[in-house]
Amino acid sequence: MKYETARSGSIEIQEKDIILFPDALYGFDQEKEFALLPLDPKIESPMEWLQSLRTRELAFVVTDPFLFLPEYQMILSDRERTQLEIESTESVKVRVIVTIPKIHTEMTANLVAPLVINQKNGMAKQIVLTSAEYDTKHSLMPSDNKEIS
Amino acid sequence: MLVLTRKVGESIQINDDVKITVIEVKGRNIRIGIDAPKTTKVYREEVFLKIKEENKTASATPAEFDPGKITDFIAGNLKK
Repeated sequence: MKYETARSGSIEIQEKDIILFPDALYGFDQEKEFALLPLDPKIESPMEWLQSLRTRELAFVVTDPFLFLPEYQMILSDRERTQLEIESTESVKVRVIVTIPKIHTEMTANLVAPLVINQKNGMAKQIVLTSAEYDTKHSLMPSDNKEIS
Repeated sequence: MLVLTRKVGESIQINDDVKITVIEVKGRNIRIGIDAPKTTKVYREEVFLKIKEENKTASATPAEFDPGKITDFIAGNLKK
């Protein structure tokens, strides 16, 4: 199906590529259908757009948390596994939402509420981790820059 | 909403496996104990409010945002 988006222009999304969040995203109760799109088709980037298929202006920058934090971990509850019909861990894709402020070098990732996607059926959920070690504003600033500042 | 009164040391049982006990009351603070199976997730409500807030902020990526710049910038922080 064809969708109009503010960030990525006109896009064609196959039924099987639709990511469905039955519980929507926190703070966006009506937003359940999304698609992952390249940040910019012309460049290779560790980031992607999570584009709403309902609201053309709504898109989140997301990234793979394991690229930045290989030790990042989460435990899915039985309820979450059942809800997303997860049979094996290999089918799970994890993304975290990136917040890009005006000064883009201060961008952060929300590690408390990752997006867990079952690639087998496109079902997804923003889950909330109970671990106290993660922050909703985890700095993505390269560590050498951090030392200077 | 169900509203009920409990004394210190008294509990509320939810389903078969969740028990909430009032442990201590000190001025405006109430210390609560929660017994629940490991798979039951227990959160402070503020966590959800914080996440809602963060989602809202993240949805407002500045218009002048430059994917190329961001990608170059972030590359330095990738764990190889």
